[in-house]
Amino acid sequence: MSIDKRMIDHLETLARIEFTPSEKRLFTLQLERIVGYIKQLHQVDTETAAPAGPAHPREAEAAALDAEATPLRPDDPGTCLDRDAVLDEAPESKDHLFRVPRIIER
Amino acid sequence: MGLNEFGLFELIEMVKRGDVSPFDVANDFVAAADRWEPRIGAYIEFYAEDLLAQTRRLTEAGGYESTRFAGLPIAVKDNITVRGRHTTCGSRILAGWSSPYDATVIARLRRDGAVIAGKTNLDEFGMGSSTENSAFGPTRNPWDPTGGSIRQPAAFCGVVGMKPTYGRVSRYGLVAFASSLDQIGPIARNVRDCALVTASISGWDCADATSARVDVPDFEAAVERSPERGFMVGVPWDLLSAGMDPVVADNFKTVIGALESNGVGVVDVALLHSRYAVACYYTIANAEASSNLARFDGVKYGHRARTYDDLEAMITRTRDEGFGDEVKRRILLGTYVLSAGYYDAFYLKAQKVRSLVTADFERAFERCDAVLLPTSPTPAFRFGERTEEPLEMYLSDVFTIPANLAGLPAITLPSGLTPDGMPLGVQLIGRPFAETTVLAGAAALERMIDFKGRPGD
Repeated sequence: MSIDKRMIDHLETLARIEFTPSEKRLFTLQLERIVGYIKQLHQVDTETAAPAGPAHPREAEAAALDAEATPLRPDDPGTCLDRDAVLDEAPESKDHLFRVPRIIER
Repeated sequence: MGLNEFGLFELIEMVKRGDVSPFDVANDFVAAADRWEPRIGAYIEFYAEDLLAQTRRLTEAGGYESTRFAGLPIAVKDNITVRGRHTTCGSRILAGWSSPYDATVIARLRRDGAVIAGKTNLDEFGMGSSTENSAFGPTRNPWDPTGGSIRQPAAFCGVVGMKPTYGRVSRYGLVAFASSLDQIGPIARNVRDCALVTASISGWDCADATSARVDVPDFEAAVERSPERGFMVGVPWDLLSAGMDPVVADNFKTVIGALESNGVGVVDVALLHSRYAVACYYTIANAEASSNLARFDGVKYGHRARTYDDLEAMITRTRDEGFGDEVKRRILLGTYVLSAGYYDAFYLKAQKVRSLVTADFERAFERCDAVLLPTSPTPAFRFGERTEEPLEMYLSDVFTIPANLAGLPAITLPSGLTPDGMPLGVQLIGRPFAETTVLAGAAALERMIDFKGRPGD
């Protein structure tokens, strides 16, 4: 599980960031060190960690509390953002739309 | 003594008595900013003109005396949106962008009579501990101009900082970094001022699905009270043994001594899994950040690259140009721990460790009302001291992170000075939604310590 150039290339694609060659070199090294550090989590015995399912009493209690304590709001329409204010701040806009390079080939 | 040197509560009393007007106060703050900002650089944008114009208007109109904040200025960190004004998050990727909406906390502060003074500096998207990662330059510590969340900066600057329980304060309008960890809270001169601001901004908000619909107790009354008889404080010596600067250790022992001689019980508690908190936090937080920062693509707001052949290149170049190194590192790490083949080993594992950290606190609270520990393992570090190796910066969070992982309320207050004259802080962590206990304990401790230091003494 080491961080090599192939992994960084893969992550670069997933993260949608285009690195410079020197950034790639620096981040490969640094990421290797950070991942090496967080690997210590594997030392922790998580067999007894609160399971994801609702069977555990604390989970069920927490879920019940959650449902009451963080209720969904009614699905009522209301005022949204001011469209012109939003588009004024866009890098490029036209006819009440955000403008971007062509997406679909002709 | 300039008006700007009084605490918020004291100034409110002075305004309500008619000794000074909000405009007098605003004038003093603008003068103080003129004097200090060139050296300190606390603000990305200070609203000098707005502040004077608004407070002049409301001074003339009257009625401010019956509001909580009586027309006084409050600054907000620049990842909280104010309608019609810039929000940069300390990043080039949002430089020059104005928000079309107010954060809920802004609406509440204004409802309570505060005037927004400006936007303060931060590490880019909150990623860092010193503002060295801000795209707009670092902020200097007024105690030592060579050196620079809520609790760590407060401790390093000898003031009080409070992080409420997760869900206590609405995150609507807070630009998201790590959605299960982010919380808004005050930094102020003293515990009472923190209670005042926390009271204003707390409460359920239907615009934030993680906002808790629970009653908000009277936080201001809490600081007047002494803690209940039999108030017990728990010290996690196992976590502290991970390493403390001797100067921090000495000061902490003094604080414990003060508590004991004032009749507060001090017991040992075990936070077994908190030694893994930094690894756990940096896995979860960066995973969430990689998801939250995916929205910065140059399409709808902020920076857009100038040269590109297609949409893909526009996005990838925009993000490389707009984000600083630390942000990119964290997005990379977050992407890695969430990616196929690594998700179970890292992200899922970290979430399980997180529940163990929370369970440790639950057990600790069977034996005490609040957990007490230093805020930072070291005094404030100098610029450049922690930037070579990202991990070193992360490790400075070892005492603050456990409360974030467990979503608990926590407050830091000044506990003394190092022999070099730099401030130290100590923190109290409470049960979920027990801000009143934490505030009462902190107010009592504040009285016992009676910290009088000021920068430049």
